[in-house]
Amino acid sequence: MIDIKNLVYQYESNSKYPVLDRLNIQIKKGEFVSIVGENGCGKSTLVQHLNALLIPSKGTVQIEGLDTKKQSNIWSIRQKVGMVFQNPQSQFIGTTVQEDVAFGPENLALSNHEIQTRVNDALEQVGMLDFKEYNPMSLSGGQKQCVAIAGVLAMKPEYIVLDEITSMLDDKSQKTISDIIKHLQKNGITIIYVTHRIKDVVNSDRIIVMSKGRILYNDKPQTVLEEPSLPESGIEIPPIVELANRLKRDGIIDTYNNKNLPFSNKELLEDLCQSI
Amino acid sequence: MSINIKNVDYSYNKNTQLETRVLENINLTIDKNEFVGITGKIGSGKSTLIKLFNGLFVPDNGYVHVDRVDASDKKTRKKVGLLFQNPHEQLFSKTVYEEIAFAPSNFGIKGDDLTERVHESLHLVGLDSKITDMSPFKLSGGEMRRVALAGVLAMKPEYLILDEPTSGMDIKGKKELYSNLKRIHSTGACVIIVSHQIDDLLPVVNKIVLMDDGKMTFAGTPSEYLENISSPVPEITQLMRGLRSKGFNVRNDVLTVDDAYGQIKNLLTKK
Amino acid sequence: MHSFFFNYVPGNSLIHHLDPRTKLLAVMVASIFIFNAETFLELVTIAGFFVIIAFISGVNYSIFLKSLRPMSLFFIFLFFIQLFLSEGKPIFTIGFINPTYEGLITGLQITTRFIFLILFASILTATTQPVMITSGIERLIRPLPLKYIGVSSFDIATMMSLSIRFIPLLFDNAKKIQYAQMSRGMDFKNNIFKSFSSVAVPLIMSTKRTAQDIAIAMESRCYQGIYRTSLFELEMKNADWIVLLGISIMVLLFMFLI
Repeated sequence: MIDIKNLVYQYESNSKYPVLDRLNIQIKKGEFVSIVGENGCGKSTLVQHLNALLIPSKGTVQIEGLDTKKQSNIWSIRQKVGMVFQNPQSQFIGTTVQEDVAFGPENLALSNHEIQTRVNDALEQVGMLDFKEYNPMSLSGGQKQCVAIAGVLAMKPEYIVLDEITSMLDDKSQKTISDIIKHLQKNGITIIYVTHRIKDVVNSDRIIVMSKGRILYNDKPQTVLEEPSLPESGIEIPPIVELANRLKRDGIIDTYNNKNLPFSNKELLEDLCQSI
Repeated sequence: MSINIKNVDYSYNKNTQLETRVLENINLTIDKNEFVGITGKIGSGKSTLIKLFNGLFVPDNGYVHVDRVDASDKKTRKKVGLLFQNPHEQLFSKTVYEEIAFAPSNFGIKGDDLTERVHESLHLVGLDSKITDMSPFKLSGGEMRRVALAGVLAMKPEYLILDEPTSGMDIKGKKELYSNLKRIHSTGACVIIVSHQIDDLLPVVNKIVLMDDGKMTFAGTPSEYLENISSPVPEITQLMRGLRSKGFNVRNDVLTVDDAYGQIKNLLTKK
Repeated sequence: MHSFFFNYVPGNSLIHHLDPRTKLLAVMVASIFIFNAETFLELVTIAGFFVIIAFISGVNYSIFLKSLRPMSLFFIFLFFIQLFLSEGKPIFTIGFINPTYEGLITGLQITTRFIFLILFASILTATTQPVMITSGIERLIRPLPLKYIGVSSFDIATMMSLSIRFIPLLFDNAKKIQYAQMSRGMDFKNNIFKSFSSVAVPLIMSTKRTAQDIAIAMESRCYQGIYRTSLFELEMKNADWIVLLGISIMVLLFMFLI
């Protein structure tokens, strides 16, 4: 599990306001946790702590008991926690898809045979095996992010951090990515999904809402989305959720104890047909 | 006064093996008083289309006229302000003043007139005149975007075109941008926004252009759009159409949460 | 997609299947021969070798000729420098311009050498994937004591493949920025200094940003610049040893005959 205790992070040049202010977060293995917040709330800074790209100014970050502050832990932490970034343009290293996916395993100094198996397996999982020999730059935005995910998968991580990976994608690619996430979660990989769009994350087990370096909410999606003061955090609330919330408050649709707030178009439509 | 596009074809990598047709037989007129949204999937040709409007690209066939003059004519370029995606990445000057003055001074504006334009543009994007001596690189990301927009506005363009202006923006940034654009439109400039997010466009524009695979498949008012086009439409519209197809009496052009909420309430009171 | 100097043409020829190290060594030996070639006969022999090897590679000759195009200005410059600046018997004299016969000869000689150099290198790049070239170079320089200058052979190989990957991106970016500034009325004809900086400054900034991003991405994927393995294992086969033997015999013959 990931254990963040009293995490404070501040840039040395601007030490008055910490970017992250006394955060306490636990993420269990196999969870799908989303971190949302407006631009500049500190969410990307937070997740860069998870694989020791940043080291806390105060407090601790532990991955499976390994403290990120300890230099000797860094490489095993980075192998355990994979990261995919927003801009595919600047995370490809290889000149072909398979070379790029091989980059991580190559750094782990695995055998040639093992690298090939892992590359094929990772590309298979994201449905990009047919594009092995392609130049990654010639792919569409969605395909690029699939390759980037494969690049991380090939390192056999236990946790994957996806940092704003769909902010440049259209809805169709978005769907592909969320299918891949579901598949990964089924395989026991913990997902930490960072975004400024709450729409992408209604399927997660838990949503952490951040604002100005602090945690506003840390709860199940339905609880967070029903929070009346949520819009003040600067997050874009999907119109469907907003509508569902208002209808629920008026008692027009009923979300029974065992049923969640309807998040998607289809769910709300079903609910409405029942209630009207 | 209008932009006229007639029978336009455009290809990349012309006369090579890699030649790809990106625009096919486009016919479109944009009047000066309009607020236009151009939408379509990524790669549908919408970003290429607008590069024809200020002569960066020249059509293979057909023509693009701006106020009856060919778009490739140098004089039209100052009439058509084009702001690219992620405009904060094109800043280069030592001060905000120089940055905004770059475009108008390229078109020969000098002296008091230039100073006035810089301040006016800053005002239009909601920035304080005090920042003129600051380095643009010291500003926040959102402010840098606004300086870039001011840099185009200072040309006093009669047609302002923005390519995916909200990409990577949060809701606050989006709202600010759209209210700035409405203000600019009210000063008499034609505003043209390219975006793949139809939800943002439909409530504000008065003309929608839909591109699909290099072809223009629709051009008309938002209400005509909602009457004729089944996809892409906003989720809320989809929901209400879903209700309609189940036999409930709701409109098929609902765009906002308020409207949808009202309609559903209405259904219940009638019952 | 741009293809600037690494114009790999997929194929199945004997040359394609050689180990990149063999091809790298062969190009090195070829360039030593080229730079020692003086007589017409020697240059023709080299041309003959090129034609034969290019034929075996099965790659269309036009691909090789195309690789000369980006360098053509350099060739012309080189030729005229020799023509006008060499001392000797003048062909004609107009003012201070006096091309010489000696200059003409050396000009032709030197330019031809450079053209051959590029042609032989283009056989390498046309028949070898960039990644293979870099791992070939990495293996060749691995025994060198590079650690004393603070890098590893892996660093150098990674740097090379990153450059291959990023040069097209750099050009795309420059184009994009240029369009943006042209839309703001930028024109290289008036105020060249400001126009230049309006493209150069954003380009440098975005390159710096990309470099930072890529460094973070590489670190997060465990890049340490120390020993790493490769997706493609290099393996010297019989054909490689035969080619290397052939090259050695040629070098020895050359040394003893002349």
